[in-house]
Amino acid sequence: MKELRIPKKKKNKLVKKNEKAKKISVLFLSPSILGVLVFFVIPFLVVIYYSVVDNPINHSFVFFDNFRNVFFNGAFRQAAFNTMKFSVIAVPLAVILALGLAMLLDSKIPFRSQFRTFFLTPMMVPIASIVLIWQVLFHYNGMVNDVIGLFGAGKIDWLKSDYAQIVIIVLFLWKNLGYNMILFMAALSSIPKDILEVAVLESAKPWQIFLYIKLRYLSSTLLFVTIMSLINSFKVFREIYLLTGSYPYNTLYMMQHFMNNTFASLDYQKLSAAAIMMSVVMVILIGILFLTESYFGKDVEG
Amino acid sequence: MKKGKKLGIIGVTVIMIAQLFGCGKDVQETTVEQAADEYVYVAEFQQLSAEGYKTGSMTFGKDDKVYFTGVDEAGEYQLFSLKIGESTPEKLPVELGKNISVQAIGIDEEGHLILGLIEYNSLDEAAGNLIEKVEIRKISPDDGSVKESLDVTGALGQIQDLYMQNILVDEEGNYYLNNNQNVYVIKPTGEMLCDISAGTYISSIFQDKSGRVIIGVYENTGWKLKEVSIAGKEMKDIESKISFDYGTYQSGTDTDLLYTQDSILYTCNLKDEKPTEILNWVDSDIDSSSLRAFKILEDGRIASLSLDWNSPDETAELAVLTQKNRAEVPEKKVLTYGTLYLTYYTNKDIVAFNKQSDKYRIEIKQYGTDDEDYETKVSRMSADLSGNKGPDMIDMIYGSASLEEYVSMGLLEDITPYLEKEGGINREALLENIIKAYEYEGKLYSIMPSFGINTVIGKVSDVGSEASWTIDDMIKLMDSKPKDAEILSYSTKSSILELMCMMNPDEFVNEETGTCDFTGDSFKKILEFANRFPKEINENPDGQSQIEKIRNGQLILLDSVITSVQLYQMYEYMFGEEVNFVGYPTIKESGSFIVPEGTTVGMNANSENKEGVWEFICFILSKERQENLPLAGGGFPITKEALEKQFEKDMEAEYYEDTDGTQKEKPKAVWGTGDFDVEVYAASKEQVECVKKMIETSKSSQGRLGEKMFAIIDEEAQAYFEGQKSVEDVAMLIQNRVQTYINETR
Repeated sequence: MKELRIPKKKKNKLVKKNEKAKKISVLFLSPSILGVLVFFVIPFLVVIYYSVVDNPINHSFVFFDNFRNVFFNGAFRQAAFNTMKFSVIAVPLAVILALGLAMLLDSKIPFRSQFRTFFLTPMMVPIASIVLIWQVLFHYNGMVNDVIGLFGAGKIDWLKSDYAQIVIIVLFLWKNLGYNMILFMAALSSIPKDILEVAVLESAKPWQIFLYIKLRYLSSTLLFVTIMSLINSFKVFREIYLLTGSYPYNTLYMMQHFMNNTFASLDYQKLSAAAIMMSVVMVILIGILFLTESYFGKDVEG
Repeated sequence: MKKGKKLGIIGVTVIMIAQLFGCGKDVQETTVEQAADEYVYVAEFQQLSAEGYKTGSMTFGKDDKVYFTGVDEAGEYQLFSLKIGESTPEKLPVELGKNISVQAIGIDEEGHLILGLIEYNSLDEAAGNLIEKVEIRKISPDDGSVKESLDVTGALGQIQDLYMQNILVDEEGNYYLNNNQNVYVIKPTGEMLCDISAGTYISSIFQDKSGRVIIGVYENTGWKLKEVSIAGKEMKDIESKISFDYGTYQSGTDTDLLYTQDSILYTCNLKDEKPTEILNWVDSDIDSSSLRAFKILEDGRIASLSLDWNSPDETAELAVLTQKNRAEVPEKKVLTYGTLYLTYYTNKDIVAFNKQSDKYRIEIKQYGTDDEDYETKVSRMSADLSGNKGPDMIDMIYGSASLEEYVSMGLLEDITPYLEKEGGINREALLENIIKAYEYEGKLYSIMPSFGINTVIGKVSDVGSEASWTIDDMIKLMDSKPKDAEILSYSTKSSILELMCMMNPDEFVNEETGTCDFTGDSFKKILEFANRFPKEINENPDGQSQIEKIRNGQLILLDSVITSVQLYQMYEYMFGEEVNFVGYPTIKESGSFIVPEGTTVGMNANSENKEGVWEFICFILSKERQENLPLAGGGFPITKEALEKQFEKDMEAEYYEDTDGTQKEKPKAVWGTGDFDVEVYAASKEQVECVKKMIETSKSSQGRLGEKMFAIIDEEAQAYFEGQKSVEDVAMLIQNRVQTYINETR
């Protein structure tokens, strides 16, 4: 193959132009880089530093003592277990139910748009109102107990008993299904129609079409919805906190309760160690999700 | 052009970065702060007293003089004047006559002195004194000659407990006198024009620029300035955009008013948006709580008159403050004192320390503003402490966190090594059980200079004479009394639950293993016991006073903080028979607990002036401070020697000579709760022994159930108190939630 020859003078000019473009890019990027450094990178380094010293005053290096203390802390373990349990149950439910609903609304059923609006409504309700609604429903003297009382059942303290996590899972699904469903509907509509038609002509069964075509095309959306649901499952603390305060019934005690409470009691070293441990787990989880997505979605994305 | 573009890009970037950090704002604030810090008001002090006389009322004249009254040992009054800058007061040639008390001194527009005088049959209070004549006298400040004399006995003579606190005169010649809650307006002819009640104690009275007479009162809704309206015979609210609060208020020089609030001297007109800050009295070593009057002199200096009723010799002082460049003032090392709330006693301690120390001066760092809620103030202080910008000294009573939290942050210095140093205070000189209140994990982090004992008081015939009792004993006592009898005053289900939890922490929480047990019978018993008390405080529906209720057997026990032997004597009087300070009932042992009083300092482990902080701690624990704790309200001193001396003083009888020449015992003080007054005489040895025993057996309240833990307990207990859940269900829930809390704090 003949090598493309560029005159030396022109080459120098091109190099200079590229360098200039780079400098300008760096200049324009610098506020953002600075922002990321100041608000994310440096604080994270400070957190790492706090996690290996005895306290913010003495600054004595204690190696992994704080990590060990946090790891063996009963409340941390309880919080980690509850958060994991909640995520393991709520995230798949949020993904599967939303996908099911999207498929249902994708088919030609009556009142499609009304259903869509119905499922999207919780997204528009402010958090304070959601908490109020849930309190009215699930308080010890709430509506749900009134209703079950009509059938002769005794009162249940929904938010302070073993039913508490179920109530929160229902709340989480009620709030997140609509958003996930819309994402899936958008992804479903972007699947090439010709492939689906060919599959039908080839006598593929509906479950085969779903498994081998639709699911493949939905893989990137599935990943996105799963990550978003996972993040939202960590954020359910907000609702739990507003419903039950800083120290709820033990099955509702989440990682962020631990973080918030240790921050309030100025125990920064414990907080920092817990934050780092949590971020490591998050990175691993999201890494696994990316690997899964790239494995299943590689043939449709090329 | 290209260069211009480049500069433009760089300019924009710089602005963006500057905005990111808010540089503009910082520069402005720093400039203002620097300007304010450049100058300082330096005070020169002068005793305001004449030999052989105790100083009473005082005022600034229209001239450059101060006028004050003095009372000699025989109780006779004399008027004095002192020219500012001179040291010897001069007697004013005023004929006052025998048994005349000069109660108030005012100044009219011409500079005449207006005296509020009362003539008694005798000036000896112990012998009893009856008013014979009330007079308003206008005199010349130069020669004391009488310009006007009004006999106002007809108008004021019949008023019970008349005491003229202040006297003013308006443009029409009407005189305004205030006494407790009332303002009496006297016509120029001496008759009463009107008597207007403020409904609450009048703290200040002054005239604004237009001549309106204004009072400052503390009402249920807060501090108010009100106009004394003669036309409507009422106190009219004054509208102002400035939020005034408790303080000393008086007429301004060129403005409506000059006032002191939270140690700061302000000047303003009532229509102003905000007041102008002049100075902080603490910076000039002046205790603002003792201020009686202040004035801006013609040359710009500021003069103040103070009278400290709480000092042993009731010191009166004139201070003249001159603004000086900071560079001219001898430099001292600055120690910072951080607190959320500055108490009367702490303010006094800091001012006294600053005044006597050549090496250090303490600056107060009070977190938050009046408009901010408690949580905001706490987070401000916490942010400073965790960011290593904390003060050298941390107020352990009004700080942002508990002792345990400070220790876990490594914020407090162990002061044990300082106590072991030779030549200073040693541990043996202090009361050991009181010191332990600030001990944590074998280290000592603070020493309270004085303390009170929170206890329960009952008749020996009811509670027995033992040092302790149990919940069962108390339940038995309740059952033996009529159903409508109130067992403990001002107690609710929640307050009893809190006390019971606080007194029995070891029963429920094992700090070593990090476990709790709220499901056992002990806690259920406490819940059931607390449930026997009312939900809310019943505000005296039958109108009976506390003492009447006790004497009628309708109130069985009282809980209180005992800070002196005199208080002990007062409670003995209230019960009318032998009493036992038995403490709060506990499951195992008695529960009277220590309440810290006074300036309780924690040393910041990160402070660069630890020696200075220790010097301050030594100062507040010094013999002089300990033996002169301001009045009995200051609590018991922590040093053994000072406490013994205090007990001796309490047992020492004071005498006066009766009209027939016989020596009679004089009351040491008058105590009361508003419903009654009792004269307290020298305490008996038995009474002092009872107090000693109470102090010795009291325990620290530190390290007991924390606020957060009790909040969980109280929240869950409400369902049981409301009858919604069984005691077992509630106990289970408390167990569940509190265990999480305990796990988290380990």
